[in-house]
Amino acid sequence: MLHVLIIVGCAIAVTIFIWRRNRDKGQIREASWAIVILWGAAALQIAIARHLPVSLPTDWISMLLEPIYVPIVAWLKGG
Amino acid sequence: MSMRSGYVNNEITSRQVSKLLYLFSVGSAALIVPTATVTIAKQDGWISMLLIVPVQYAIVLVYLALMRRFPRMTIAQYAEFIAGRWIGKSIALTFVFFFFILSTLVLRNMVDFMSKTVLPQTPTWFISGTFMIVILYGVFLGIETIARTGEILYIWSLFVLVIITLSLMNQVHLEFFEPVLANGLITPLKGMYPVLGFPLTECVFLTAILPMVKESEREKLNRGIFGAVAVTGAITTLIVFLLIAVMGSGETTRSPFAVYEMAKLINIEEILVRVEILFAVVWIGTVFVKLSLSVYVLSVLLGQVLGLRAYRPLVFPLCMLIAPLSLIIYRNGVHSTNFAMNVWTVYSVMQGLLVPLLLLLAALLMRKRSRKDGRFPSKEPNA
Repeated sequence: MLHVLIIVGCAIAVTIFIWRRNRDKGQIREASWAIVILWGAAALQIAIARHLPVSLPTDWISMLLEPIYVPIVAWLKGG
Repeated sequence: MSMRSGYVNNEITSRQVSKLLYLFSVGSAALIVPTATVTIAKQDGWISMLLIVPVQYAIVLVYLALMRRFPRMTIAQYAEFIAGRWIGKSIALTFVFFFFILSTLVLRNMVDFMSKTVLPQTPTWFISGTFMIVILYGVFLGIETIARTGEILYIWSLFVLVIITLSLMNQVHLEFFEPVLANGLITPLKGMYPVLGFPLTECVFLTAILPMVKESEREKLNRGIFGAVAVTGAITTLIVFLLIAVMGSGETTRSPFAVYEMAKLINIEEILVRVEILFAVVWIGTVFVKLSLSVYVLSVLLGQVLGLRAYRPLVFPLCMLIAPLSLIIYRNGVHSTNFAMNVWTVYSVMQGLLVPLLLLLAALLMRKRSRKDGRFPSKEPNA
């Protein structure tokens, strides 16, 4: 639970920093997207820290490209 | 250096581009790809590396042709210009995803190498986190800073390679190359497969970097880039040649970091020994350039897809996303080898060659070209 508190605490602090820094420059849109990505990163870090199941992007790519790479690899290995 | 020095920082020279291309291509691939190529092509692996050079020329020609039609736009911008707003944005998003995954994989390669060879007792999250802080700072400062760092590392990487090559000359066994072309050209052709995706088509990063080249330097660009391709081809061929000549194809296939293992064998009369750390230092330097470029291109393309006025606000959150994902992106060594050597090539070729080629054909057929300046303003608004 301590992990989660640390990650959320850091995320809140960085959110405030990003918002203030960009607001002064009139970059509201930039700050909003940065904060969205930051909280995505915080969610991922919490998932890793709590050993929650995370779907890996490498698995998505492998699944999508299976019809193409499987025959090529079979040929490479002597097919 | 002032904290604002990075803000007026978006023009590079053609010479810097060619050095970045060399460092990006040699980058993480120099340590990992030779093993993959030799596993498939055995003692003919060096021929595979020679055969890949014209292919890299052809791939780079596509990027240069796109640059001539859209000299000041990145691939995210001209995809939208050619294919319309929503299809163009979808295409650009596939590039954002590609560079996101590439950054994660490059960081994971570096962490794996460090934790298996140099820092075995240090937690992987610490290696990943500290390396990412350096990358964050480099990307935040901008492309010019990365390019200047590349100029320093370029000389060092060539210097160390010359030292290693000369030091290994007393251990070369030419009989390890026999039989040459035992199965004809088909084996070296098969050996080209992993190199095609890692790093050849990853060089699609050029489509986001070329708009930053100074107007006065554009005429020299072709010569510089082709020079970089030739040097990269020569260096990678030399590395694979040395690997086979010193360790033999059997030993090479057994080590995930065969080039590092080869550097360990250097022994000149018990005086010059254990110089492999020199190789590790240079390799980490080239990985720094490759990862910086990947994160830079990722931030720039994402900023352009989202219609932002600056890419810098996105750099920190993206680094915070890449660092933890790199720790779980592979389940284990088998998953890593299987993905990097089998799946990645197909994905990289589709994203790095097929999509740009289709965009080029569409631009030719629709006679679309634009000289609009799509770069981010050199100064941040109200900075």
